[in-house]
Amino acid sequence: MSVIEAMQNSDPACPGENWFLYWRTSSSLWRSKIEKMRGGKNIIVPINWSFHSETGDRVDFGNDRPESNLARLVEMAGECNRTVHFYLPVTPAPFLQNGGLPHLLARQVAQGPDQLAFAMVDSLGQLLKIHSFFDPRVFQSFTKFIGQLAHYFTHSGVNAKLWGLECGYIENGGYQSFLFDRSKTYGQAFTRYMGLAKEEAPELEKNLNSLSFEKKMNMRFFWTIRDLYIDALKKELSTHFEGILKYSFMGASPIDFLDRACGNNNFSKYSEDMLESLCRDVIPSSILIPQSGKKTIYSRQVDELVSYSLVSSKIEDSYYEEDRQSYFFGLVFFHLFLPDQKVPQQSHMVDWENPLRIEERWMVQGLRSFLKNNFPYTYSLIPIEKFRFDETVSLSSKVSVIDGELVDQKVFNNVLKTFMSGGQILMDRSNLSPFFLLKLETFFLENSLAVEKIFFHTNVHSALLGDGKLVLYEGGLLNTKSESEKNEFWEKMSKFFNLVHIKNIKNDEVTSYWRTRSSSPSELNYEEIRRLSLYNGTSYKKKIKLPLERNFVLLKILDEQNAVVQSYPHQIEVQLLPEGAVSLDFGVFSV
Amino acid sequence: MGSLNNFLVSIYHFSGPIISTAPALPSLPPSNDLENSADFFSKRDEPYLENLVESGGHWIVAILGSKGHLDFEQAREIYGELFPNRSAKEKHLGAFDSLDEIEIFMALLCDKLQMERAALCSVVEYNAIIENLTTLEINDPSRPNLAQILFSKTREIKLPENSKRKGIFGKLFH
Repeated sequence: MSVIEAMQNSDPACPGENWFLYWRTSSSLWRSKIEKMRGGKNIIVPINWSFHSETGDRVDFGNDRPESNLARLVEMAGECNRTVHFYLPVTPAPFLQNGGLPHLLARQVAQGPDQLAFAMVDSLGQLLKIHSFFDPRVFQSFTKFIGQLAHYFTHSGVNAKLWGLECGYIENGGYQSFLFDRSKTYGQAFTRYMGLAKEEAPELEKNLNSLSFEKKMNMRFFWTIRDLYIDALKKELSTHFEGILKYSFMGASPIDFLDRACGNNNFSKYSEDMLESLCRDVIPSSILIPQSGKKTIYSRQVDELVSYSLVSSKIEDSYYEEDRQSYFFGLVFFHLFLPDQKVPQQSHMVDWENPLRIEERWMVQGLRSFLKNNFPYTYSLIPIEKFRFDETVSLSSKVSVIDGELVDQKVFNNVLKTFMSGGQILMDRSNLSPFFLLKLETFFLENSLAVEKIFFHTNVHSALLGDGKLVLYEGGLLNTKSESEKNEFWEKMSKFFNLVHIKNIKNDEVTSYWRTRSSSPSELNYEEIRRLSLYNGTSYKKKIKLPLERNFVLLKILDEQNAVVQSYPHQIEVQLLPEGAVSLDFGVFSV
Repeated sequence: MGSLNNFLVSIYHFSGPIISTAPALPSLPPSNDLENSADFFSKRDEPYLENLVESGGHWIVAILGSKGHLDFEQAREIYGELFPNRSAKEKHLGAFDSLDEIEIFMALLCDKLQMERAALCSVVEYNAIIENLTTLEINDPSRPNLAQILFSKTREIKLPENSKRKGIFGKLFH
């Protein structure tokens, strides 16, 4: 590593991933730092509200400090042939002091789900605390600030895209927003909200002693406040607003804080959190992890899987079809549908006491561990609201996994449309309402579909219609089985759906990630190109054996780093030394 | 302070008086009664999953050693041995009826992990310490890290001496 690279690596204004934290350096150094940034032409510039306003009233955009001059920053970036993308946090931001709040508004440290004060360590080793966004004064000042920002952009001729930034973290396999709060400030705000709700609907009074009802209202209140911040941004900065980006920050969870505050970084956890973020369509970021402390292999993962691909695909202008051949996207076999937490009133069946209930069911049924061992990170977790029939997408290559509890009329209609168009559905019927169970049976009868009923560790009913497959299983019964029985069940299910994949990467300590892209005109022998990236973050040599399935042809070995790849007729062997990594491109075709 | 290493800090919260209204688990059908078992599972409300919701009592949110948080795996085993009739599957560790129970538990854990000292820190205390903390010198080994700060500012538990522990713990389990 050159001296310049080392200096770049430890530059507080450039924490990596092409982020530029303008307030951390003198404006006289902006040009030289921007010129040295190596991650492509897009520069991510988060707007630090607290830097432009200490009190929440008066705002500075370059009158007092040249470092506040965002227009100059955009102009300078343009001169360096870079494009600035502004990120404006609509939740507390873990990389900003006070979560981004001006000093006088940072009154109450927010508390996370464990009731622990939200705190974190940034890339400079500084202690940062998240403050509550549920104080009405914060919201009032926020709307004032973005109004002033909009005015400034207009009058300064700033022509840059602006994204609303939602910040969160991954913990216990789930995503948690930093907007979440259970401090006294939140309690007071929630009490006011409940008071207003009672005024509008006096019949709510009788539910007030119900814990379940309170949790439901907590959820509704959270989404109301979240939407308030986002709608304010959309309204004031409509000319520049491009959309909302959801990020998770590695090293920012309460557990990570406890470790990092004791001088430890758990890179294997950060790696898992990053991949879990990708499965949830959340952009992972490592800017809180000090550049100098990042293991090379972790940095490479971030660059390959996030910075150079995912972020670009999210923030760049829509591109022509042929450009898609150069972008790899995460390979997805399973769409796991989650309750749409935003609209609790729409589903009477969903248990709002525990929005993670469905995910916990999959855990207990052994689905998550099966996927982890056999189809690591080749699944996506999506709100049920996004389940719709899309005839432009190839339906036969993915399996939609739906818990019966989530089925309402709209979902039911989409299930049938997807099935009839060749899609594959796997549904846990344990919590499917009798009404929809009957409708399904009627559908089978009316269409003269033969329904095969078998018992394999649980009751399984399956129907075929052309390429379409609809499988109903009793998840409740599966819960009582042993781990090996559950694994056998899911193995059988995956074979039934004929998922074309290379499995058996049996090495827990080697991180693997599959991506896919369309084949280019010179690759017409193949239906798609899949890339497997392997990373060894351990201090030991690791060997991976990949059975070469008949639908796969090894096309390219790329970016070998401390790695040796040997290809045999039916197998590929990869040896990774400590900090080793390699990517393999495969052509995939139907037999 | 920088040299203090062999200790644990248990961060706990109190979620209210213990309420024994958790529904009793229904008795499962005999395992060979396959014909009825599917129907059974499709109709009931899965109360066994609702045990995942915390009830009253004291709950350990996190356990910190000098190098960071402790995974709960070993702690759950010890909890299970100490309270065989209580479920240990919740996200937090518990419930404990009283701080005395937590102290006994921590003594067992220290014994297993060969830790010499332990302290209890309530979530309220933890939050107050964090709110008042302005810096953390994580890169300076001569300065206290978070675990050491928490240990110094909270109540240390008096652990039985090593030679006496086996006798006391033996009595607990027999």
